[in-house]
Amino acid sequence: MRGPVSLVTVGGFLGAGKTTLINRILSQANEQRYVVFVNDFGDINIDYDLIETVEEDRVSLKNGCVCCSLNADLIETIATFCRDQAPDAILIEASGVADPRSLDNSLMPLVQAGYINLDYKIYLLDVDQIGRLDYADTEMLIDQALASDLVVLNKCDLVDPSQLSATKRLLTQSGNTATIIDTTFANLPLESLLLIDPGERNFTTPKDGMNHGHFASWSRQNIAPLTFRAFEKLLEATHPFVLRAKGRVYFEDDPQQLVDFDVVGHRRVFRKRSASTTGMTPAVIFIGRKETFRHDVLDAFFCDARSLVDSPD
Amino acid sequence: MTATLFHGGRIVTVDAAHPAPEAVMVEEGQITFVGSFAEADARASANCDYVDLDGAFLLPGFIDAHSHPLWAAKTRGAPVVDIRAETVPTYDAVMGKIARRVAAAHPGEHLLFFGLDAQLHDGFCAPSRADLDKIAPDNPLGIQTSNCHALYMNSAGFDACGISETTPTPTGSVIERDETGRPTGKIAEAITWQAVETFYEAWGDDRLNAEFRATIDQFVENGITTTTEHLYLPFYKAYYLSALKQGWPIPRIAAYQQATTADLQVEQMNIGPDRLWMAGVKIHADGSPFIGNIWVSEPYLDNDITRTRMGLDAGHTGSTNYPPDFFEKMVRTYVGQGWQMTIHTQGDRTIDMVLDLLETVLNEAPRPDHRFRLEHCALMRQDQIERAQSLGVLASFFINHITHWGAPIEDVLFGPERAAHYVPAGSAASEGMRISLHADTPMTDPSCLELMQAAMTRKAGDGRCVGASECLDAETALRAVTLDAAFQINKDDMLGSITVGKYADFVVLADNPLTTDPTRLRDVLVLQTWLGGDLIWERP
Repeated sequence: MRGPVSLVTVGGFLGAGKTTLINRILSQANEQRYVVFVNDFGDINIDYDLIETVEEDRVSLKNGCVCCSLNADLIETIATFCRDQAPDAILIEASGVADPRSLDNSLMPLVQAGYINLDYKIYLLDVDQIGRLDYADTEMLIDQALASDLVVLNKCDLVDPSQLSATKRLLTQSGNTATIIDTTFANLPLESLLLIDPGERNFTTPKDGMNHGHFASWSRQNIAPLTFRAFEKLLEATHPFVLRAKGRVYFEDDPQQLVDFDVVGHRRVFRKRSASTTGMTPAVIFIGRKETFRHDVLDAFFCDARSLVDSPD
Repeated sequence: MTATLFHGGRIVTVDAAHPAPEAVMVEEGQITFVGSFAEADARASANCDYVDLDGAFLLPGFIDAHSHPLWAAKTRGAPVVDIRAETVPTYDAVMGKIARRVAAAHPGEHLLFFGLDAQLHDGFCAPSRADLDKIAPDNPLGIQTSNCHALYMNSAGFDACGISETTPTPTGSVIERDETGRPTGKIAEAITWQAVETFYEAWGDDRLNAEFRATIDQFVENGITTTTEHLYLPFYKAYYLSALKQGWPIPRIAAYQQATTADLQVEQMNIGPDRLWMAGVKIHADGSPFIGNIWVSEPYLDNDITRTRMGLDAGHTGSTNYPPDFFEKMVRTYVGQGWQMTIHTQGDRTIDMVLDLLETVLNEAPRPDHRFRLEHCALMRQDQIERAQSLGVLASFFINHITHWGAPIEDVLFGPERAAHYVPAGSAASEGMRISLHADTPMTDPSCLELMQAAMTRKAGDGRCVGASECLDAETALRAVTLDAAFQINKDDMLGSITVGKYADFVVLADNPLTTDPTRLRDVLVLQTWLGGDLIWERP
């Protein structure tokens, strides 16, 4: 078995655009192999038939939501995939009424067993719909958005700017620390935001991910060991403009130990690499929105950190 | 005669005499044999059911020694809106949610929110009556704090509860007032629990029954087969009788009646038998560390949160709920009636006062095996542990304070030295005390595995360890939610271990909590719950 497989969950109320988004992700897969779990609420698996991927990599869960009744089924199926034919990433389309927090809890045993990383939690919100829901459904949407890493305000073309900003205000006031992006037709450069771990290969700036015009990225390889505190400070400083950062670096207190890091919103994960790291060079990538991105902060840090050492390559 | 033989798994008896038997035989709801499979098999009658545990772990059913199942249903069940910091992270978010709920309210609808938290809600500021009148001019509205001890209300709320300028403040309660005597928004302690009853009554019994059932299910799904109803009031009996009559899978309940005066009737009762019984009396000697009304020898820390959010002056040392003579009269009355006393004590000076009184009372009329209890015991000192132990007074620790509020306890309220021995379960166990642990539901969710994890790791929400020297070992932690908890509710003759003669109350777990990594105990799956030999819950 290779290292943990990246797992991405896509949540959202009924009709928010989850299937469209999954298809977007798949269309940007660039030869990576994704396994998709589709979960419908009801007898007929409508979404299953809409997902455009290879038959064997579609796993459909009928009659229930992934957060409750099908837990054991879901967990076992994912574990089997990771053991037998680990894909590059797993996507779970959570039913429109699934609670992302219970879904996270259900997935924890897989994280602990080293099968998966809970990589990215995307929540789709139909801005046209939110104004028309009753109190209980509105609160459910807010709570669910709160538990995600990236809130995608979808169908923005259907509302006027004041409604869009009211929705954003509602999310911010509700304590939402997730990144909020607005879009139409779930149109996002997800390949770049997802940053699926390339394994032995190095991180490279995504090929077409930047063509959407809204995003900027900064990447570097061959970085000398860093001090942990300074690196944490950097992550604080870049938080306002970085949507996603990922990579592997050495720290000065243990310069032989390659450490993976992963930054999504406020969530930061550091993981020591246990497998052989011979031939792997430290590498980092930071991605953010073009209008706020600060190349200079990253340039300065990695310059000061004596980043550019001679590489054997 | 119905008989069941459990085998095929590993059996953790919590009984030193039978540490690892192969089989357990149950007849008529009680354990009749613990030992080898061959012997059990030979004893089995023709109609005996064999339950193959299939490698899972059979343990005595869990016991949470201080809880409030019915009160939890009232306090947190719908239509109460959950605003605890774990669901609604900031004060702004709380106010936004409240405003949206008010906008959706029917005329005159009673609105109650649970979980406001001065320590955990970023940007907290105490809402005044005037603030709340602006948000809700017409509907009675109340916001209860996460520790349950205080309530903020608007004018319609005060009117609905009948609290006004002319209402005298009951002894042991707090009504904050302006110079004219008009309540300004916040009330605390016993009057809080009376006031919220107004809201519960307005919503009717159908709501309460549904929420009571849901709360019971939560206990049972966590393998809890016995717990307490602390703060029991006589009118609770009807709800419990109705639940039992309907055959709900309700855990055994040791009731501890709330005493706020010295003249209450406490009913001798044991229904079932041993499904609901009056176990003793509960009195609040002080309040909650999180609203500042506990009595401490060393002041609270002085900082922005203690000053502005909690409204405490520098050097604040709190106080007890009742004047000493009033409190003494209550204790003497119910001790005199022969009841087991369970006394809510958080601050160390409160504990001094209570131990002084109990020592006096016990000297005057010695009572062997009284099992008087101190509840929660946030800032109990080492000398107090030793003194309690010599008096035979037991401590029940609200260990989830560490997991839920560990960071503010250390940084904001009491500082690292006191935090290192906050809820000192480890020190008490080292002195040989038979301790128990509790979740105090509704304050935190019922799970004895979570209690064990909290007591063994003392990890706060932000990952720090608060008081490593107070961590329990696995055996002690397990006893504190089984046999020693049974001891504390005076039922260790019938509950708390897998021992011949005791009730067949079991929990079946996917892993052994004695060997599981303590940081993952709360994730151990509960597979089945058995009460009196009946399977009352099974993981779907």
